[in-house]
Amino acid sequence: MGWYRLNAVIAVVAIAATAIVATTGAFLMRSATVSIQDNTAPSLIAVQGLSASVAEANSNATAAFLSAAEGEEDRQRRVAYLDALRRSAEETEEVAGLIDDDEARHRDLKDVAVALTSYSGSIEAARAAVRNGDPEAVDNLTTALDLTGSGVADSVARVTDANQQRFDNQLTSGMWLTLIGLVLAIGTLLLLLRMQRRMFALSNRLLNPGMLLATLAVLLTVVALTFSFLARQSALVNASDGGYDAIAATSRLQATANDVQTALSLRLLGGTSDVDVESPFASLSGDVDIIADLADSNREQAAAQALEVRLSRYESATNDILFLAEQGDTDAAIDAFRGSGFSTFNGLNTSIESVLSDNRAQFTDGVDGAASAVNPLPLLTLVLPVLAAIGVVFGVQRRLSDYQ
Amino acid sequence: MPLHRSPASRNARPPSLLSRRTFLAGLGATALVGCSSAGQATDVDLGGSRSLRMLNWSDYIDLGADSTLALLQTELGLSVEYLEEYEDNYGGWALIESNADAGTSGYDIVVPTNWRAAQMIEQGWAAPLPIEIIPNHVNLDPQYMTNPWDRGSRFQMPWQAGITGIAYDPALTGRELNSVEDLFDPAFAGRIGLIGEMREAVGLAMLANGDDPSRPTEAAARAGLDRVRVAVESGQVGEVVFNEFADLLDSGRFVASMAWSGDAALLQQRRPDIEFVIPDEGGIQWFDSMVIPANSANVAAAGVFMNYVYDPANAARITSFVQYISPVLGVADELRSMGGASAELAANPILFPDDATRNRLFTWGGLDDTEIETAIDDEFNELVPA
Repeated sequence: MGWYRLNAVIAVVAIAATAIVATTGAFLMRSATVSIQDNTAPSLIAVQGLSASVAEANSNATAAFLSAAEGEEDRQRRVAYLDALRRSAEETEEVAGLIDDDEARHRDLKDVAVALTSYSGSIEAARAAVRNGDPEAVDNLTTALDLTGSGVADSVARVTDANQQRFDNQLTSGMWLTLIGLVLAIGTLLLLLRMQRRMFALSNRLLNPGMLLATLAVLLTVVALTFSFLARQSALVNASDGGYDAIAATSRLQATANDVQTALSLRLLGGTSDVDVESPFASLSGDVDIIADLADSNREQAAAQALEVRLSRYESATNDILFLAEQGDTDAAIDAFRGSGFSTFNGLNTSIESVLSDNRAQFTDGVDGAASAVNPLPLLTLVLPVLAAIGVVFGVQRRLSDYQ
Repeated sequence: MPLHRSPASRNARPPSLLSRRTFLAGLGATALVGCSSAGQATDVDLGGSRSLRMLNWSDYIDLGADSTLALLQTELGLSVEYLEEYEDNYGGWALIESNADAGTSGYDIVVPTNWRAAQMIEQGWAAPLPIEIIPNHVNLDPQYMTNPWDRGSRFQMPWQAGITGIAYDPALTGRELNSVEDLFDPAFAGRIGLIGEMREAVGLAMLANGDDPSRPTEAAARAGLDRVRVAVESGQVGEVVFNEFADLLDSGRFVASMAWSGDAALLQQRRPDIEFVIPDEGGIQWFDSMVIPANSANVAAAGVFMNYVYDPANAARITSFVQYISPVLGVADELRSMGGASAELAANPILFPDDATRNRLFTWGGLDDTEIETAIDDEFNELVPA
């Protein structure tokens, strides 16, 4: 019976090791997943929203400015600017509340908040200047727009990079420990099966209840670890590929479209912009193609097709405006900009928001699914091995008693 | 929003003498059949159900043998139970509310006014639109896609839109009216009509006060309400009305009234001397919107219906009947191609306001605190006689 006791001791040690390693891994995995659910995912979404909101504020501020320069400020553009500015501030605060104690990123967000304050002040100064017929008004506006480039965009890019890095780290957090725990559990399971097989061969006796309990408990541990691990990784990878990548492409599309609109306004005002009006349409089409490729349902494909139509209308309206401007008919170009130009832009912009909403829902659902998959795992990897250990001890005592 | 009734006044008013359907019977406007339908979702799996129950305002689509509704049912193979029982945004809301808690909604499409549609969405009573079977969603005019409560129009598609402005009889006023302030001119005391919808009446009063009804604050809304209350209680307002303002203007009982653009356009067809203006301070724009209740059992059929009415040719046929602003792009072109009376509609600035006019239109934005808005609503309705 020496081999039986020895193997039982090895099994108990292996079970204990499985419990410690797998539970630690499961805790780390759950903790990382909850952090993704509560912080990283909302933060990733909010940062993308922040970029788009600032770009939207720019495009509406310049359009309102353009109309004011023509005599009457476009109220709807002014309201849209204020809304976008308010959203930018809210999203900055939201991200700040989600990035824990990352001091460098908090500094970045502080810079964003300061830049937004300066930006809104400069916009108001430009607004007052254009009302007073000040020839420096366009320069004031350009200064304001530059602030969003230097003060906001760079900081937002750093926060985005940090968020993505954190997401990647959290994706693998606890993964290796969990896998080692899984290997240990499988090893323990094989050992228990071997013990029972040999005992069955020696004594031709039916299964030992204690060992059966232990075997089943370890088998369940293996199943729980395998299922939770695969379900979590699959849900997060799907969330990332299908949801976040689409969010990133859609947000980029939105920001680029707003930049084009801003550049178009500046061109009509006789100012200059770093952004070209014509060439970004290739990039916009490319992003729509990416969104279409990532669409994995009829609904998303329909939304991508609608985006294509809206983008095409916007491009056509923009080309018409540019043509009028190039012909020297600035008044007609400005009328077209305020009419079909902004109408088609609004159609594109709000269609993008529709797609974004669906993508955000998909991303959030994926993350929620991952959290559900790992939520009970730490408890299972603790309780099941304890049951297994009890089963082994009980089984050995039973066997010794039979033997004696 | 062709026939509005507040709960207090629902049974008290005489039926309008001006029925949109009878009025248009002689215009041949409904004989517009056989239009092509691009973007039809004909291959949609309706899950075995080809029936649809729709709750709408009265006189809001042409009915009868060759009507849009009949064509739609034939072409789509749908059986539509079309109920003209949405009498106003209170009684109609009660119908929606009573169905919201039911296992399956009694309706597959309801058509509340924009602020009620927003409430449906906020309360989770609206199903996301099945855009995969509404390719004509791209024909939605972008101006209706920027509402903060449904950016991109994911939960509702406008049915028709209208403007609340001022209609007046120049022969009786003796001068042009172009300001909301004109409604408060003592010279017209007792002969002014006030629309019985809080968001429109108070909204116009807010514009007169220099406030913005698209971003209302409690203080500004209450100031507008006070202005309305004083006008009603002092006798400046002859009656609080709904679409019967047209009859009362026609008969000379009113010299001027707050007015809905569609009903005013219809009145102008027999009384071209009646003027409809958007005041200098601005006008109130509203729209009634198709919403699929969250517990509808026929979402796909509802989507197919929406797709059909968003085909410009079909939408043009509806516009020529109801004479409100269509939210569908391309309707003006369709009307022009139809010629005759329909082509004239395409040139009507009330149906197709230009960009400068649109910039003077305000859609009620809603107060942040809905309880306060409800309280103001209740106070306003106390001014509406039973």
